Amino acid sequence: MLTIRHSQLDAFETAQRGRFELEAVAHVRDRLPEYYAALGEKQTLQAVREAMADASVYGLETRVGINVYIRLAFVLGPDFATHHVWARDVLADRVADEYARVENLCAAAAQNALRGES
Amino acid sequence: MNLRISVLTGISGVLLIGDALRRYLTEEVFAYATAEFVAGAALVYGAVQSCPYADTTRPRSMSQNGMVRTNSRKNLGELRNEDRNMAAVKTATSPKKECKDFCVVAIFSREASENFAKAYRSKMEAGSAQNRVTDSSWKKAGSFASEDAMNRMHTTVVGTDFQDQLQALLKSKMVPHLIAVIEGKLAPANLSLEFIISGQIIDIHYEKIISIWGKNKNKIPDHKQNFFCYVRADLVSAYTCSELEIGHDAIKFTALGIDYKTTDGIKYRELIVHVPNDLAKEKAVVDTVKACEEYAKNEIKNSVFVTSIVGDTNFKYPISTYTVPSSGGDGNVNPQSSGSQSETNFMQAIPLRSDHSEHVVSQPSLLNYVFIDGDNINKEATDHPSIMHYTAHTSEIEGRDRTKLPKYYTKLGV
Repeated sequence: MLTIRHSQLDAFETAQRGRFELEAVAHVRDRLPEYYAALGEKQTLQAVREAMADASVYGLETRVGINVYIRLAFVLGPDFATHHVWARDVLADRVADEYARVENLCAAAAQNALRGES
Repeated sequence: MNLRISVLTGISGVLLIGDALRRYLTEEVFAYATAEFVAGAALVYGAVQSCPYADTTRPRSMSQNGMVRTNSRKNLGELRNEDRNMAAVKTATSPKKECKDFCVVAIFSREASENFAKAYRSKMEAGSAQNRVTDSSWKKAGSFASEDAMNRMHTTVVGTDFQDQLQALLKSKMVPHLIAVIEGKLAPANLSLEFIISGQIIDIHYEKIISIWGKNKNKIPDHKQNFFCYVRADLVSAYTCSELEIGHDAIKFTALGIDYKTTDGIKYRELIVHVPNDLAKEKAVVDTVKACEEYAKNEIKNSVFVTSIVGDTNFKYPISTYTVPSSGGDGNVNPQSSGSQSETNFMQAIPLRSDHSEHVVSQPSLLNYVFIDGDNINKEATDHPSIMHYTAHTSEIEGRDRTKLPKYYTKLGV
């Protein structure tokens, strides 16, 4: 019988996480080159990790949910989730599932972020 | 409000504003999330281990469950009926006539012994995309499109657990109404498969409704001629299955008949087949298809429309352009059906009627590649690709019970 030790599971999870982080860094490099130039690779990675940690506080667990959170943290600021009422309301909604919350977050960002609403 | 110290806090000078911010939010946040959700790719990041069938790294073939129904489509997006290739050469059905429902059958083709599986596996598992597609479709679609389509397919090595095999086979695919199994010694009574619907993992239950224990010409039990069929929990009242004998004299073989009815009162039957090799020789093919057409004609007397024969025909050539499966959403990329050096098009869905305006048989689509690390007892393997079969109807299939799969229907939003 195949037995997977805890250390192997940890390694697997670390590898998954590492790949996800690198994809997010690559996105910043390609789509937000000014940010990448200002931060450099190491600090971009650090910012990605910070945003991932914040996303988990709001119960975001899907790949798309975490990616959306990271992208908004970069362009709206690392505290966008507490700074903007619209973001706070959407993320605090524990009745809606993650799919609905991420969808609402995207829609609210598109509607409100440019109005300077807080 | 006090802002916390973050590496991002110090770069306010480069923050996007105005049109650049609007464009980023629209294209890289809103459109990104929408595309991911449409693709059903909102995989649970932290649950990869609990759902080993969630692959976060590979583009999908888009035969996804949920609202997206595809085959034969290059662009990733929702497939409408008019986008779908028709398997029929001629059809009285207007492609734009509104489609209300699909009968969706996954056909899992197994090999009862490992004989042919070794060549198939060595060619398909580690081989290039060119190995996996037929020579003619490689030429027709081109190397780039062929490789792109094949890269959308999952390749999984599994053990002897039947449920694991099906789970790998159907990863990222539509949720079929029925799962028909060709060949093999045994199949469990019930299945519980995980599908990701709108970002959430949902258990879908199936129950076995028929086991056909095949026999060879000499009436000796032959696992190669076995069939099994499972039906989804909400559709138990919608479908019935039976063992049928098609043809007569020299052209005679067993088929698994799947019967159902639409709400407009029309009765339909599909024939799942495993055509014996000697009926698949070049000259016999015409007679074999004719025998099926004759059967379909006779069944009209019983008010049953026999729509198609689908499964392992053992035919080397496509009966028509779209009777052979699409791969990775590309209707022109057709999978090589065996490990043979010559071209093989065994897996086909062949429409039997082209004069009925209330249904149309669509091009089948390729399911994932599954290779089995067998044991010395069962020695089961796979030696053909498996396919998903779709028949479009202008009325809904009767007997659907949404209460049996409430989460599934809630997530679908229907």
